Amino acid sequence: MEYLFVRYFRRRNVFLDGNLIGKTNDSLRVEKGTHQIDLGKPKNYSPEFIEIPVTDTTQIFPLEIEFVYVGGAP
Amino acid sequence: MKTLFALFCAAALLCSCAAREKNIPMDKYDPDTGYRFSNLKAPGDPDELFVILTFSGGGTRAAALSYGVLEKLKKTRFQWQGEERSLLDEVDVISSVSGGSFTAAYYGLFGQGIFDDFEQRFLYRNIEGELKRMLFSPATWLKLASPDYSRTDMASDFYDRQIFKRRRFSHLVDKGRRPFIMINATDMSMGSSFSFIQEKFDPICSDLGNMTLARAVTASSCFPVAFAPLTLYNYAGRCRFHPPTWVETARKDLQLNPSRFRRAQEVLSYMDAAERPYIHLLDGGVADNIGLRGPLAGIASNNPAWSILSKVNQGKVAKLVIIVVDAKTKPEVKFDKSPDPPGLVDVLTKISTIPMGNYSFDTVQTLGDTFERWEKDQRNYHGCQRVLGLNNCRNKQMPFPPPAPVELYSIYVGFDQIRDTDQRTYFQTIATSFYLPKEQINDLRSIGPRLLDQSAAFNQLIGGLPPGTRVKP
Repeated sequence: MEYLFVRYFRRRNVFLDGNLIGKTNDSLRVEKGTHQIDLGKPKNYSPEFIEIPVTDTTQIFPLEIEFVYVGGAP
Repeated sequence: MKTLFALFCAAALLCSCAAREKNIPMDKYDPDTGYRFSNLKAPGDPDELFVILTFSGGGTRAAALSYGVLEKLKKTRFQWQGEERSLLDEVDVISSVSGGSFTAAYYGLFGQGIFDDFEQRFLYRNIEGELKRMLFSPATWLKLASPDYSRTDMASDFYDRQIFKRRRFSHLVDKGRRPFIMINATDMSMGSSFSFIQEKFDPICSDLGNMTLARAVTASSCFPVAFAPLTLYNYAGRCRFHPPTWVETARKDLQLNPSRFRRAQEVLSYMDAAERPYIHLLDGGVADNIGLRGPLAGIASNNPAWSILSKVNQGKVAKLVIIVVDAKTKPEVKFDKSPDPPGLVDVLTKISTIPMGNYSFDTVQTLGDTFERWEKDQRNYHGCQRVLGLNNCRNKQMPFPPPAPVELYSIYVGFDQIRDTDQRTYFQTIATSFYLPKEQINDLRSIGPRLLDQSAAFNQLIGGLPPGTRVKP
């Protein structure tokens, strides 16, 4: 079991390998391994997706990644 | 001469009619249709109390033990949002193998109707005797003479006609209600579990909806040697199926997470119809005799379409309950009392059953370890929070919020939990057969509820359910 924290300026869905797994700014339980993470549509954030190995995390210190709002419908 | 010719024609006709049920191709892959967890609804709040049952193999012994557990869950009633409900109403998933698949499939098809006629249709019936009698019928000989018909097809036809009322998976889709039934067989070349769910049929471009439940149950209980493997046709490449993203990312995980890598390899192998034009399935017990591996993947991974882990993340699941119903036996061993080396039969029996038993033991252990890790992680987090408080770090906060909380209940129903030695020995030596004496079936039906009553986790669950919870005698 690994832990992921996806930072974004507001609350929205988090997709892991194309499946909805939770919300931004929440700590999320994920399976150990390489994952592609994005925020779904609208694609008004950058980067478009993050592919990263998720390993060696804890609930106290999850892997933190961030998406940045780039304009358009929030 | 005319009579002989007529007989010959009749025989030829019977022979040519004897064709096995084939899985049919799917024109277009559609992730939103078919027999999928997401297409089944649950009454009330669907996920807050999420209950998974697993039914092991073991012929009628396993079917009766799991049936008794269903009876107990039906009697376990509680108040929920102003209405009285039973724990059976809350069951979301049933994953089954071999003998346990008869109970699981029947409950999936007929719901509470199982308590009306399953006993007559299957449980107290001499299925083994009826199958053997069929083998001595000239009509069966003619059918078996066809290369397209085997003893497995004979059993499948019998189950279809006599037990499952010719129902297909499309019936489960039309019903649209949980529990999600995962009937498991073994992929003979990959050595992995093969569940009869649309997600598994997508890569081979086949529509599970047209398949009879009897076919799936036959594959699940297709005991090696006694029955020929059941064959699926692989139509991969004909339905515009594209593998899910996780398959691509998991291909990089050979070192990081070998089991995830392996799951991806399985999907890719099904997509290669040139290499694997046919998928041969054995009894589900060969890969996992307690049917727990599928649910474990749903708990530990976000990848299955029905991932429980993702539901937990979204705060939808407050209590996650897994009840493992295991009809594992421990046959009496006599060879240790003799200096002579055990004979061939003993050796063959042991080498075929020991690995299965050990694997089942490890699988249950893995579930326990998984839940323990979840709980330990939660405890560590809250422990750190307390340390911050103890050190008067009032302004300091944990750097990240905790994941959504969840209560976990792992409940094991198996004969080795029976405290009385004689009684334990009695249950552990019940034969694996599709026919058992009535008294033994009655005993098996009653031991499941008793084992639940003595389970600390089950009592903790019942104690934690809303006020008014009671178990009817």
